[in-house]
Amino acid sequence: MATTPKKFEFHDEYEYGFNDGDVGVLKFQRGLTREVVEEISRIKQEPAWMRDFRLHALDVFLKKPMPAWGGDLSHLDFDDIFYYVRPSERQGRTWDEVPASIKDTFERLGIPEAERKFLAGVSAQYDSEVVYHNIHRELADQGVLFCDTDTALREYPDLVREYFGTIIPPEDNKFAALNSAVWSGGSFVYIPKGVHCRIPLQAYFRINTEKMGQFERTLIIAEEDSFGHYVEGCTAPVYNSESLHSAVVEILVKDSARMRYTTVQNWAPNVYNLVTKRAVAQKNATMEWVDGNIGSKLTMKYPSVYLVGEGARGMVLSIAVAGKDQHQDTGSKMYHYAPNTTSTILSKSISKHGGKTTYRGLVHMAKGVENAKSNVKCDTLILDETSTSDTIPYTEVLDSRVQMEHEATVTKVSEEQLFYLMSRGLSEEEATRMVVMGFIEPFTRELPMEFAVEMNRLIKFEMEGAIG
Amino acid sequence: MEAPAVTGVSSELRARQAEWFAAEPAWHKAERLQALALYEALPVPDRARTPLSSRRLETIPYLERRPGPIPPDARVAATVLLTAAGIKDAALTPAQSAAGVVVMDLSVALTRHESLVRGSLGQIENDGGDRYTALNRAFWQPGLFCYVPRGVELADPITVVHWLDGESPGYLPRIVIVADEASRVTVVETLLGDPADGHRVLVSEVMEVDARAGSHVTVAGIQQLPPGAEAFLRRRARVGKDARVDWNTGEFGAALSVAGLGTHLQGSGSSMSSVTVFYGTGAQHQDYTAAVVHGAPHTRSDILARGVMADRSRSVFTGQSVIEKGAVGSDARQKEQTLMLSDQARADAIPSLQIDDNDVFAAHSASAGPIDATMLYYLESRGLDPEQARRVVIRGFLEPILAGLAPPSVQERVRELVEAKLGGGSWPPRQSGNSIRC
Repeated sequence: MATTPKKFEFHDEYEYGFNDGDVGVLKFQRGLTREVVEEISRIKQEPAWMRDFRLHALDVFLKKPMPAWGGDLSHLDFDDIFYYVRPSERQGRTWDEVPASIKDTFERLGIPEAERKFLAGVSAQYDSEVVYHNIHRELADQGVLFCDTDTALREYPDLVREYFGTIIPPEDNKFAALNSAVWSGGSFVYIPKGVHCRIPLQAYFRINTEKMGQFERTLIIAEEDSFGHYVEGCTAPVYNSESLHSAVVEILVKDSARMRYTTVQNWAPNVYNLVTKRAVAQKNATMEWVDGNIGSKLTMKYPSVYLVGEGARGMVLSIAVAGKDQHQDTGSKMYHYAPNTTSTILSKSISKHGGKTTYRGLVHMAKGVENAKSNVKCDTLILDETSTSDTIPYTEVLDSRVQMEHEATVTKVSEEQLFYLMSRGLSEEEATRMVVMGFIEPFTRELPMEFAVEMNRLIKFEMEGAIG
Repeated sequence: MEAPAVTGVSSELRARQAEWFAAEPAWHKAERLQALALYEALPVPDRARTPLSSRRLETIPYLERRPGPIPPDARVAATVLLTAAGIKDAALTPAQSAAGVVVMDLSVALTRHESLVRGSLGQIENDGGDRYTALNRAFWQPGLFCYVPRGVELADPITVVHWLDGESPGYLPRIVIVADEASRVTVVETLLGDPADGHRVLVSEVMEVDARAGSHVTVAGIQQLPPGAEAFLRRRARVGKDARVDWNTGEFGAALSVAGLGTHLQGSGSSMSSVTVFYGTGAQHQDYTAAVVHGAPHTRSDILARGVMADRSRSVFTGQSVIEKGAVGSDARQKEQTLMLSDQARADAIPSLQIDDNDVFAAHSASAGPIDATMLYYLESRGLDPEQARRVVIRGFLEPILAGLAPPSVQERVRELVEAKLGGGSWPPRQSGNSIRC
C-alpha cells in the first residue's frame, strides 16, 4: 500500500516528533483515550459531527471484545500504539536505516530509485509531480473528485457527511470502531453520474501530501452509470515500523455503475493488517474486488459486497501468499438481498515456509432473492510440509429459488505436472515456479499491467528456496 | 478417589446418582460423579446457528424417571430393544453367539468385561465438552455393549431399536461397540417412539466405536423420533491401522436434532465414509456435524450429505476435515447438496478443511438450489402432473446417495421415510409394531 511510513519505534520516544512546542501535539503519546480522540479532531479542525462520530466510535471500540476467531491477536497491545502522527513529522528516516532485506527486494524487483525511497519512507511523497499533476487534471476535467479524506471533509463536507460511516458503521466490528475513532488519511473518490474514468484512480498519485497511514479511511461514491477503477497498494514491500494497520473502505455503487477496487498489500512482516472493506451495489450495479495479500504478519480482511439492488453483481478475485511466520486469514462475503443478483468468488492461496492461509468466507441468500446465483471457488497450494491451510466457507440459504455453489481444493504441486515439465528439460525449481504462476494466473491477468509485471517478479522471488 | 475429587455438586443430584447406580463398580461411580460436576458447571451449549436458549430445554424435567408403557410388539426382528427403563432383550442369532459375540447391557459389562469397557467407554468421546454429553456420562441409562472378537465376520447386522415411551421426559442411552482386530460388523440403530401429543423429551445419546486394526465397522442410524423430541446424538469412532468405519445416517424426525459424527483416523491406512440423508419438514431444526481427523499417513475420508428442506425447516451442516501434520498421502473429501423446496426454509453449510500437511489431497463442495424448472417441464411434457413430476425430481436428487446406504435394509427403511415425507401427509408415520424394522 502506498503509505507514508512513520518514524516512531516503540522503544525510542520523541526522537523525531512532538517536541516542537505545540502543546496540542505534545499530548500524543502511546495509548488511546478520549483526550487523544478529541485532540485529533481538534488539530484537524473538524466539524462537531465528526468529533461526535469519533467519540461514539471510541465508546464502541472500548466496549467490543477482541474477536475470538481468526488469527492470533494476543500480542496486539492497544496501549503501545501512536494513534496520530502529523504528516510534517513523518519524515526523517535515512536510506541507511532501511533494512538490507528490504533494499535487496527493491533491487530484485527493479523498483525505480525514487520509488524505493518513497516506499522505504525516506521521502514522504512519491517523487513524480509531473505525472500526478497530469493525472489530476485529466480526472478533474471529467468532474471526478479525488483527494484524501481529510481534505474531502473540509472541501466537500455535505458529500462526506451524507455517506461517511453509512456502509460500515462503527458498531460493525472492533477494528472498524477503532478506525472510526482515530482515522486519518485515506482516499475520497466521487465519480459523477455517467462518467467513465479514463484512467485508473491510483492512490499513489493522489494530490496532497496526506498519504495513507495506519488508520486510513476510504470512501468511494460511484454515481449512476459511472465507472471507475481504484488502485491501491503496491507489490513492493512497504516498510513501516508501526505494528497495526486498520483501514476502513466504504464504497457505494449506484444504479448501473461499475466499480473495481484493486489492491495488493505487501506490508512488512511485523504488521497486523486488520481491514474492513465493504461495498453496497444498487440496481444493476457491479462491484469488483481484486485483492492480493502477500505481506504482513497477520492479515484479517474479508472484502464484501451487499447486493441490495435487483440485478446487482459482485465479484471477488483474490490471492493470499503466506510465508514464514505469516498468517493470511482472508476471504470474502457476499450478501444477496435482491432478486437476480449474482456473485462470484475466486480465491487462490499459497502457503510455504511454514506460513498459514485461511479462507474464511460467507455467502448469504436472504429470503425473496429470486434467481440469485453464487459461485465460490477456493484453491490452495501447500508447497512444503511445514505449511498449513484452513478453508472455512459459510453458506446461508434462506430461499429456494437461488443457486449456490461452493467448491474448494487443497493440494500440493502436482507431481504429474512437475514430471511433465521436468521431462521437457526444466529444473524442479523452474517447473514448480511455472505451476505456481499458472495457479495464480487468473489473478494476475486481472491486474493493471505494471502491477502484473511486478507481481510475477515478486512471486518468482518469493518462490526461491521453496524447493528442497 | 470418589468423594474428595469432586466438590460443589448438588447433593440432590448426587444422591439420585448414588441411588440409581448403586450396583455399579466403584470406578464407574467415580466417573459418573466427575461427569456430574462437569454437567453442573457447563451451561446450555451456545451453538452459533442453532439458538438453544429459546428452546427452553432446561424446562424439560429430563432427570425424572417415569417410564411409560412399551408396546408389546416393539421389538420386532431387532437384536436388542432399548427404552428409558433399560435394555429389554439381547437376542443373538445362534451363529453370533457361537462366534463369541457379546451384545449385553453395558451396566453389566462394566463388571463382566471391565477391561474392554474401560478401554473404550468415555475414551473415544470426550464427554467434558458439552452439557448434554456430560449429562449422558453422568446418568446414562440404558447402556449397550457390543463386542466382536478378533477375526469374526458377522454377516447379519446387530439391530438396535430405541423406543421412547410417551411419558419419560428424558432418554440418555449409551452404546459402546468394540470391533476387535480384523473383525467385521454392522450395527443398525433406529430411534423412534410414541408420538404422544405435545410430549417433550430430551434425548442425549452417545455412541463410541472402537474399530481396531483391520476391522470394518458399518454403523447406520435412522432417526425418526417423535415430534416432541429435542435430540442430541453424538457418535464417535477411533479407527486403527487399515481399519474402516462407514457411517450411514438418515435424519427425519424430532423437533430438534443436533447430531455429531466424529471419526479419528488413528492408524495408518485407515479410512471412513459418512453418508447422510436429511429431510426437514414443518419447523424442524437439524444441525449436523461430520468431523474427521486424519492422524496417520495414507488415511482417507469421504463425507457426503444430501438433504431436502421443506416448509419452515432449517438445517446447518458443518463438515470438518482435519489433516494433521505427518498424515502424508491422506485424502479428504466432502460434498454437501441441499434441495430447497420452500422459501421459508433455510439451509446453512460450513464445509471446512484444516490442512497441516502438504502431501495430501483435500476438497469440498457444497451447493443449494431449487428444483430445476427445466426438469419439471420435461417430466410434465411426458404426461406427469406437477406433483408427480416434483416427486420424481426429489427422488432422483436423493437416489444416488440412497443407493450408497448400507446395509440394504437401511436403504429400504430410508426410502420409506423419504416417501412418507414426500407425501406431505401425517408425520411421523404411525408406528405399528410390524413396521419397526432394521
